[in-house]
Amino acid sequence: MPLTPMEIYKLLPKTNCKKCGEQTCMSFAFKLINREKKLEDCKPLFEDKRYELQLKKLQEMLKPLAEATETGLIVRSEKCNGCGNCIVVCPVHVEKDPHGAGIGKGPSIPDPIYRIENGKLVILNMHACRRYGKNRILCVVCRENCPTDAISFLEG
Amino acid sequence: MMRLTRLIKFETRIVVARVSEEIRKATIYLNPEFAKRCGIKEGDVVAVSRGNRGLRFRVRLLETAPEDGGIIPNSIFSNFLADFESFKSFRADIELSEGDESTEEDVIRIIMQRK
Amino acid sequence: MICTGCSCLCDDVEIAEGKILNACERGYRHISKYMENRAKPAVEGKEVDLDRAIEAAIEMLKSAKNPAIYGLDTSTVEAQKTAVKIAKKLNCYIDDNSSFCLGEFVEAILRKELPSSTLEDVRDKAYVIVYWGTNPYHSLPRHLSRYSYYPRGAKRQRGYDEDRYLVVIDIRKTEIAKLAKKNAKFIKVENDLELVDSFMKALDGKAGKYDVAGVLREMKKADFNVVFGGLGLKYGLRGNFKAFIELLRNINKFAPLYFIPSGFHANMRGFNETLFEAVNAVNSYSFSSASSSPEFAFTELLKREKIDTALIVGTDPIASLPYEASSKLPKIKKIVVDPRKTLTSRIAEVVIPSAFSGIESGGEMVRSDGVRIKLKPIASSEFDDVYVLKRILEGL
Repeated sequence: MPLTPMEIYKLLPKTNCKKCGEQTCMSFAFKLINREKKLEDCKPLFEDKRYELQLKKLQEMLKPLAEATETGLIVRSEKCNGCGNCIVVCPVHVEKDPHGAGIGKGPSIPDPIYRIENGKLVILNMHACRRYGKNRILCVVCRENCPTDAISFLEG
Repeated sequence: MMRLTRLIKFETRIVVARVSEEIRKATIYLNPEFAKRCGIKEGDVVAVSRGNRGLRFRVRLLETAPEDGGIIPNSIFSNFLADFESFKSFRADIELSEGDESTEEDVIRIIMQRK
Repeated sequence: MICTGCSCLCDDVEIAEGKILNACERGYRHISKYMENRAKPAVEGKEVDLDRAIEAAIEMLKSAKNPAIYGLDTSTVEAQKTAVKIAKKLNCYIDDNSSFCLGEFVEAILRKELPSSTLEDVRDKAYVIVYWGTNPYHSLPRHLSRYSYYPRGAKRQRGYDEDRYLVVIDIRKTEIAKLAKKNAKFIKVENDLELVDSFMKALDGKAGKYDVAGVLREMKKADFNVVFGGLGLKYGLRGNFKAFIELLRNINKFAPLYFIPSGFHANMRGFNETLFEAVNAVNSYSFSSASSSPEFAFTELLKREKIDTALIVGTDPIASLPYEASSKLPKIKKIVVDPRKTLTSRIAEVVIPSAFSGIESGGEMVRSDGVRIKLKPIASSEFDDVYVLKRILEGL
């Protein structure tokens, strides 16, 4: 289930104290999901005993976020069998490596987004993915072509 | 609490296929809907029998298994139950069982004894 | 190196930084675990040295009345050629697993009854790609990404959603059936012969049980289409290969359609081609009858108790054959030649260890599409299949 800003907001102090640098707690909740802010940026959560239980719940809720890469891509290794579909369909790989990954082989460029190591998908350079950064787009090609849904994205 | 399904035999369609995992013990991958209908859960042991031959299998659930049954990986276990006419797919009876799943040694022993 | 885990024979596998790159999980297991559970030479269950075991095998074959040679689907072409020489010398039977796998299809290709092509051509040109009765996700994991649906081939630069049309035919929704989304079709088949009939009817503009007119229309758009057929197709045809060959001939009058067998064993096609070159048969051959027949298949010989000794190379019949055949194994004398301890070697009279083709020993293998691949081993062992079989041949 993808995590929503509302679920996070409900557990925040909701005082709009601006100590995190944001105008409102709701804005902070959005920035948390986009990983532009860390939970530690909300000082009251950590310093005020009143929020102890909420802090624990938030940390639990945000754990998969921490485990995911910066584009929100999660690989369930136990479901991956190294079929390589994701590597070959990736539009970035097709553009940068037309004679390697683009044509079905293992990546021949020194900095592929990911590759198959020891039979499983391993992420190497996630920042090259189109889902990353200021001009990010909602590319889901790798997930769509994974036969076992081993790839998933946090935002759904 | 004894489950009612212990008393019942279900007719199952078994497909023999390759799986990516390496399995050395008798495992059957049941379709989750089918398993639910039969009251069988992941981790249960079931007796699968066809004619006068039968083995015990550990149950795992797998969505790509056929809707009216399950998959047994290509192995000494599937071949013990199959024949060339129905090498890839056959019907068998399945019921909940006590004990552990059959091992390769069990099957070899049966083959050697029935000499 | 070239991975010999399946008939894809992927040639882009590298070993770097202590990791195996680009090989799928099966390839990784095959390459990384080759040193585990290795066989030791043995006679009547007692460990002996290699020479003693080979001598015992020679003695056993010399005194056999009706021996057979079986297996060889993961051995190199050189080893397969040597095995054929042994069978000729002994005037006996020789067979591999293709007699109950895809032998008939390979034979039809070699006799030019089924048009075929290479995997590179499929990658570069194919529009409609049909997987019939095969689930390469488990048997040939990199098949779609290396050779068929996903690569942007020379004439298929726009990728799978515009330049490919995927058709998956199976009795259940397999992992690759799930990939048949846009510009694709999944046909859940209950009776493959009825599906063949539906295609024939559709060619005549009539309706059949299955709706396949759309597939034919897509094929017409292109000058290269392909069918990959597996065990599901073989067993679904119930022996009626003529109907399938007839269907492909008819479709080819309408649009170009090639066939490539989707077999699993790394060098099964090599065995078929090697035997075909020698005696014009792909399997189930008897040198004493100088002919090939279904009754000379190893499984039939076992079932009907026609042999007393078997030289079993690189295969594990007590595990891979149905009970009606495997139950007869205790009745015959067995020589097992294999790099690993197998289940059959537990009940064999003579066990001879060998080496893993492609990992510890080189040579040639034939990919599922007939392309010959020269192996690039990463280790070296003198005592491979070729060594063992040559020693046996010399001793006879």
